Amino acid sequence: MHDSDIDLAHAFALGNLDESEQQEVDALLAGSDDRRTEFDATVRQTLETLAVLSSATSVQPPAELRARLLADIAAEKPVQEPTSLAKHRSHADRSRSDRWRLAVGASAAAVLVLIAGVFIGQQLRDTEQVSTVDAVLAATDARAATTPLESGGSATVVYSRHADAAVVVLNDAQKPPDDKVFQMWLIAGTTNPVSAGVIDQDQMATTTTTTVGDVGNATTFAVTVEPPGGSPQPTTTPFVAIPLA
Amino acid sequence: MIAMVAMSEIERTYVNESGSFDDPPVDPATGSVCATDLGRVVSARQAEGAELADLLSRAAQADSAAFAELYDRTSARIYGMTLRVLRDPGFAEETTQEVFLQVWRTASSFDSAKGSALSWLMTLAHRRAVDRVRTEQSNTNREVVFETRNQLGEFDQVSEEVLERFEKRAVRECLDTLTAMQHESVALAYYGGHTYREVAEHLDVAVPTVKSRIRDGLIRLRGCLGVA
Repeated sequence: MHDSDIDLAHAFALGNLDESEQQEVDALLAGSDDRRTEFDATVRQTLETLAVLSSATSVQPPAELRARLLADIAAEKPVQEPTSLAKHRSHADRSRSDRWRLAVGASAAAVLVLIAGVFIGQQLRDTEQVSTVDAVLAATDARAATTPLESGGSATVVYSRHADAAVVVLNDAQKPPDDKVFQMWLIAGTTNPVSAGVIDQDQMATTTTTTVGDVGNATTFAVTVEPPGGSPQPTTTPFVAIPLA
Repeated sequence: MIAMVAMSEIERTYVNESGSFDDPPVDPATGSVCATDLGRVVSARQAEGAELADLLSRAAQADSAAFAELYDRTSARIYGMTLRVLRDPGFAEETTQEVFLQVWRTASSFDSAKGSALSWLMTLAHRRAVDRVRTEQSNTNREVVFETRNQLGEFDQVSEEVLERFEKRAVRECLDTLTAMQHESVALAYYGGHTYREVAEHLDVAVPTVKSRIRDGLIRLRGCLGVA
C-alpha cells in the first residue's frame, strides 16, 4: 500500500480530512477494488487502535450523567399516556411552571425526563432513594401516570413491577394542612390499602419527589391526608388515586 | 509538552534505531516485549469486544438494562476521551450524553463485521467531540498532549479490574515507544481535531513531515497494541 493511501486512511480514521483529501478519498473509494479494500482495512485497524487508546485517558464521568441518561432513554420507551393536566390549571399556575406544564401536556415520556431533572437537581440526596429512582427509570417495564389535583398541581407516579418500586412526584401541590401529613397507599385489587410512607409539610417543595418500595401487584396508588405519623388505614377520602396498569 | 519532556533519552535512542514497525517493540525500561502480556491483552480485548457487541445488540432491542451495563463499561473511556478533546468537563458531559443517546437510538446500525463495538462507540464519540470543539473553540490555539503516567494516575478513578489494568498498562507502554514528535503529532491530530496541514502549521514543520510522523506513530501503536 502506498504511503499516500495510508495517510489518507489515517486522516479518515482520525476524522481530520481536509477538503482536497476528502476528494482524494472519494476518488479512491470509487476506484479499484484492491486499493479500496486496503484502504478500508487500514481505516478499520486505525479506528481499532484509537479505540484501544481510550483506556489510557479514561475518566469516570459525574454520577448524575448515568441517572440522566437512563431517564432519557426510559422517556423514549412507550409509556402510558397521562391524563391531561393543562386544562385543569389556572393561568397563574401555568406561568409559574411553563416547563412542567408543557412537558406533562406533551407526553408521559416528557414527564420522565422532568423527573430525572428534579431528582438530579435538588432532592433525593439519600443514596437509597437515588438507587431506587435509578432502578425504576432503567427498568424496561417503567410506566408513568399523571393526575391533576383539585387544589392545583399534579401527582405523577413512575413505577416498575420489575424494580418493585415507584417514584412519586407532586408538582405545585399544596402542603398538607397544619398538623397533618400526606400518606401514600398502595392498593392491590380489593384488599386493604398498605401504607407506602408519609410526606410531611417540611418535605414539600414546588416539586416534591419521593420513592415507594414494594409496589408488588398493587393496582392503585393513592394519597390521603392523615394525622402526623400516618394512620394504619386511610381515615380520609384519597385526593390522589392513580390506577397502575 | 510534558510527555515530550518525560521521555527518556534511552527511549528516543531505542525508537530511532528501531527496525520494522510490525514486530512488537521491546519495552526500553524492562527489556520485555511491549505490552508485557500482549497475548493476554489481545484475547481479553476480544472477549470484552464480544460482550460489548452483545450489549449493543440488546440495547438495539430497547433493553435498557443492557444499555445501562454498556454505559457502565464504556462511559469512562468515552467521557475521558471527550474531556481530552474538549478540555471542559461541562462540554464533555454534554457530549457524552449525546453520544449515549445516539447509541441508544442507532445501536441497530452497529455491524460487528465492520469492526469492534468499542471502535464503533469511540468513533462516534470522537466525531461528536471534534464537531463540538470546532464549534466551541474554532479560533483557539489548543495544545493537546498525551498525559504522562503520573497525571493519568491522579485522576483515574475507574475501577481497575485486572484485565483493564493490563490493557491500560499496555497502552501506556506502547505510547512510550513513540518518539516525542510522533506523540505530539498524533495527539494534535486526534485530540486536537487538526488536519495534517493544521498540525504542520502548529508545529511549524512541513506537511510531509507531519504525515510521516503520524503514519509511523499510528503504525507503531497498532503493532505494539496487537491490533490485527
